[in-house]
Formats: sequence, C-alpha cells, structure tokens
Amino acid sequence: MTGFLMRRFAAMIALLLVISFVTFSLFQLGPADPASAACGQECTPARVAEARVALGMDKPFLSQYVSYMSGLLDSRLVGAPGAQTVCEWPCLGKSFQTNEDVTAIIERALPYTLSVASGAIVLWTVVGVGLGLLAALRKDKFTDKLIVGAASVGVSLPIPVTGLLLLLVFVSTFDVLPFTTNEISSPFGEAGPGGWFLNYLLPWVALAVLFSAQYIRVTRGNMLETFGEDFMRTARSKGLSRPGIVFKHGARAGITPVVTMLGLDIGLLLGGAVLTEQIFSVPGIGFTAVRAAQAGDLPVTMAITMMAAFFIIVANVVVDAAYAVIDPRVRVS
Amino acid sequence: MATTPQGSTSTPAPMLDIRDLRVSFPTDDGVVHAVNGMDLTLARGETVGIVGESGSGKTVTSQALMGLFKDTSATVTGEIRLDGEDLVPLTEAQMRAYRGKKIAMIFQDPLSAMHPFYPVGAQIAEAYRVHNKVSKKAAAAVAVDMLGRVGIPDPARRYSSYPHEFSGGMRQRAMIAMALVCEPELLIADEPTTALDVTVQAQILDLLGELQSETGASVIMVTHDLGVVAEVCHQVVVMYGGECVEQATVADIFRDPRHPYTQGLLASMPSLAGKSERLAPIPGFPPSLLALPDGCLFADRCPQTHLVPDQACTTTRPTLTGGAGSASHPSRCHLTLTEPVREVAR
Repeated sequence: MTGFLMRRFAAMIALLLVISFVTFSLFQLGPADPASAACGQECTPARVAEARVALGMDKPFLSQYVSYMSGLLDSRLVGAPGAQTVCEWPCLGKSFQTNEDVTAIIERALPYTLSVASGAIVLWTVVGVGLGLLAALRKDKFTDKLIVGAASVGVSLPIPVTGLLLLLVFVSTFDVLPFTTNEISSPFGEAGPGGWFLNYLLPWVALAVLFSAQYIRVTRGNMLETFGEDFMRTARSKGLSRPGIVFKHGARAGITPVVTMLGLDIGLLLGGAVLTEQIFSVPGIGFTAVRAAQAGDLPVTMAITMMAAFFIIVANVVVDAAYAVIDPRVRVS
Repeated sequence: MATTPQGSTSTPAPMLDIRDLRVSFPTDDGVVHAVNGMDLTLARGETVGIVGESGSGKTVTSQALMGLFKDTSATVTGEIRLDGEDLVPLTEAQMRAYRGKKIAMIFQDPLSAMHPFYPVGAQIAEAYRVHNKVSKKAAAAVAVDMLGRVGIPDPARRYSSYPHEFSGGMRQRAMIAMALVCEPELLIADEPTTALDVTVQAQILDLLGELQSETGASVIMVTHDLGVVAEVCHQVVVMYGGECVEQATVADIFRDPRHPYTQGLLASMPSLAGKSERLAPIPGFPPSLLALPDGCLFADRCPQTHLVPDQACTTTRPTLTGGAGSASHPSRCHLTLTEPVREVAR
C-alpha cells in the first residue's frame, strides 16, 4: 500500500508540472496583454514596457515559468527591479489586477467553495443513492418509473436554469429564503450553522438536482446489475432475509462504481462550481477564476488551474485507495 | 426390481417427491414453458442425477426446489414434497427457513457464486448464523472446522482468504462447505464439476460422496455429463424440453436406454473402450419453449418416429409410462406403448 501511494504521489507531481506548463504556455499564446491592461488609459509604449518589466513579463518565457514555479518551493521576490517585494512561501505570485498575494485571494475564496461543495455533495449523495436504490428495489413498478422519470428531467436541467428558477420562486416570488450573501462563508461564523444552511440551501439544491439525477441512474443501474449476480442467488440460497441480501451483499458490490463517481465529482467541485457561484454570486474559487481569466490575471488563473488539477488528482488517488478498501481483488499486496 | 441400498422394510415418506412440477416465465415474446410436468422421487441418502442438454429445464427445476422463483414473475405449479411437506405454496418468508437449513445448493461457477468482497470463511460462517443463534466467534469456529472437513489445508488461515485467492477446486470445496455447514437433508449440486478440470472433478465428486455418507443427505446431481452420473448416482432422470423423458437406475439407463433421446445421449458420449469411432451427435435443436408442439417434444429429432403408427409422434404427447417386463422403467415414448402398457406404479 505504501509503495502504491508513493508511486501515485510521484505521478501526481509530474502531472501537476505538465498541467502548470501547459496553462502557462496557453496564457502566453493567448491574446491577453496584462501589461497594456495594467498601464491604464494614458498609455505610451514606454509605460507599457515599464509595466511589462514590473510584471516580470519582459523575460524569456521559460525563465518566467521557472521563476513562477520557484514560488512553490520558497518565497521569492516579485515586481520591477528596484521596487521588489517579498512574496512569502507558498508564493503563487501577485495578482496583476490588485497586486494582492494570490495565496491570500485563494484563502479568501476557498471557504465559499467549500460551503457550496460540502452541502451539495451530502445532499445529492443521500438523495441520489437513496432514490437509486429504491428505484432498483421497485423495478418496473410505479415508484421506479416516477424516480427514473424525475431523474430524466433532472439531468436535462442545466444549473443556470435550475438556479434561476430557484431564485425566482424562493427568493423573488415567495421570499422564503434569503438571497446568498458573501458575508457567510462557514457554519462557524456569526450567522451560525442555521444561517449558513439557509444561505447555501439554494445553491446546494441547484447542484443536487443535476447530480442526484446522475447518481440515481448510476446507482439504479449498478444495483440492478448486482441483483442479477450469481452471489446474490447464493445469498438467497443461504436463507438470508431480504434486507441482508440487499444491503450486505447487494449494496456493497453495487455501490462501488458510485464511490468512484463521487470521488471524482468532489475533486471537480472543489476546483470551483463556476456556474453555481456565478448565479448565486458566491465569491468562491469558480467565481474568482472567471474574473481572473477575463482580466488576463495570469498568476490567479495559474493558481486556480493548478489547485483544481491538484484536487482532481488527489481525488483520483483517494478513489483508487477507497477501491482497494472496498474490493479485495484490487488490493496490492 | 432392484431394491434401494437401504432396502428397509418400512417405507417412510421419500426425502423428496416431485409431482407434475411446471415452471413458466412470462416474457415479451410470450410465455416460456421451462419445466412441463417433472416427476421425481428421491429416497433418503440416495443420489439422483438430472441429465439433459442446455435449456432442458434441469437448472430451472433445481432453482424451483430452492424456491428461488418465489416473489418473481415466474409461475410454479405442482408439488414439491420435502419430507412430506409441500414447498410450492410456501411464501418467500416461510421458504427462508428451509433454504440452507434443509435444502442447500452448490452452484456451477464458485467464483461468481461467492461474494467477491467477503472472506470465504466469513461467508460460510454467515450461512451458519442464518439458521443457528450463535456468536460470530462460534460460527467462525464452525466455519473453520467445515473448511477442514472439505479438505482445505490450514483452514484457520484460509478462513480469511478471499474467493479470488483460492484455486478453482478449492473454491468449489469452500462452496460445498458453505452448502453443508447447516447439515441439510437435501443437497442440490448444479453442475458442480463443469467448471473444473478432470482431476479436480474426480476429487470433488469423491468429496461429495464422502460427505454424503457422513451426513446421510440426499443429493440431486444436475449435470450434462453422463460420466458423472455413472460415477455417483443411484437414479437418473433424463430431461428434455422441460419434461422428464426417462427415469431409471443408473445400471438400467446404461444397459437399456428406452427413450430415443437417452439412446442419442449415450451414443454421443465418447468411450475409451474399443476403437475410436466418430461420435454420433443428435441432429437438430431442442424445441422452442415458447410454443410447444402437440406431439412428442423430441419428434423433430427422433430417428424412430417411423416405427410408431398413425404419426402419433407428431400429434399426441406421450405420457411417462413403463413398459412390460422385469427390466422395464418409465420413459416418455410411444414406442414403449407398442409393448404391453403399464402405468408407472408409485
């Protein structure tokens, strides 16, 4: 197991290096010119050149990349020669827009994204797996058809549609829920768990409608497949009760693919729920990423891309490890 | 008439008595008649072989015995008397008390029949705990003992191995341990050696024989392998198209096969004795179970229909009847009717 994790860790570092390099290159090839954006309205070629030096963009591409990446190992100096400031480790550069440490920007945005992600994940897992299991147990009966029908509608509803509908109904029309505020970023703040819950309920539901639908379909499909397995017939032949057969023998095998899916979705969502954060004005990672990309803010874009990639890769490793725990056949001795 | 091995003076109820068992499944294409009037009597401690090709209804019959069609869309009618008690009308919940306790089953492919995520020993212990109120620890001890009895070396250590860590033969031994841990009175072995290579096959059959004589269980051996039948069975039931077409002692079936299908089966069996000849396969295919013909189900493939007058083979379904004479046994063929007829005595 240790060897397995070590190998995965090495692969993870290599993959992150590749991703960072590709992102950095794409940015260089793109049309964005942060220097002319930074120099403002009364711009002369001389001032653009100055700004370019200040941003460090006058140096060759590779040296820019190496200098940026060195911030992950140690603190480094940023800014124009003569006016350099120290960027503390872990340094992800300074925002081209605000000159703020990117690390601080991410630290500020992450709790919002964690709030959105955590509740949504719990909600859709419970609803999706629960209803999927129920549908499989009631196959071809009315309950099953109702759940499958609802899931078909759910997967066809994109977040912008669900999100706006939820806002229209619960906030504008009936005014039973507050519009999301950026003052609440965790259940431990002044608003308390209740305020946090109500604040994020709509974003959770918007995400859960889409994701539950997918989890219902995958859970139902996998459970039905498992019910047809020989070992389920064996369990019945032993004289086990139906709950014993369904949960102890069926669910353990049928749920495995759902665990994979869940791990990857968690990784994906921690990198920012771009649409959901936009619609509900939650200043999380996704929200910040969109702003940074629009403004040509390389350090912020880089940092968020790397972080999202990091979460997804870690989620992959966790899923593989979880698989080994669930299924003894994939255990590495 | 040969007596049963026990040859007892009093005649208690047979261990198993199946009368006119019928199983059908509704499908999108119509009703599939998988078993169409199956009769079988099995005495205590005896072994009966159910022989037939794929789709002849032998596996469906054995699953019907386990009550595995309860709570499904399948229809099961007739009588399955286990120790005198009819299992057909029982509900799923009532049937649970019998499964594993009085009737147990061994499946063809032990790798897929065992749960891949649980240790082998735990699965055996689970089977024991379903019917015995004991602690997990006590059940584990029983399971270890059982693993030893089926010939698995170092059973205490192998208890925590997973099915995929066992060889094919070991897995089938473990499967047998799981089936026998509650000492069932009736063991159904559904092609228990088909997935194994020949040397392991023989070991498994020997093991089953030993355990049977230890526990006194009756065994139904479902197989398409007449060699297995010859080795372990007392009685044989030949199935075709969901019907029992011939029932006899093993000696009689090999010496005097009466139904043309049985004769075909024997002719298609390779023999090591004598010079090697080409095998004689039975031409054609089994009948469609969706639309059964009026006449004999085997008529299409039968080489002897011309011997029966009035084309009775294609118009009238023969009944299971025994011919005259001391060496006769029941078979479902019009040819037996041309001899003096005698209804099967029960």
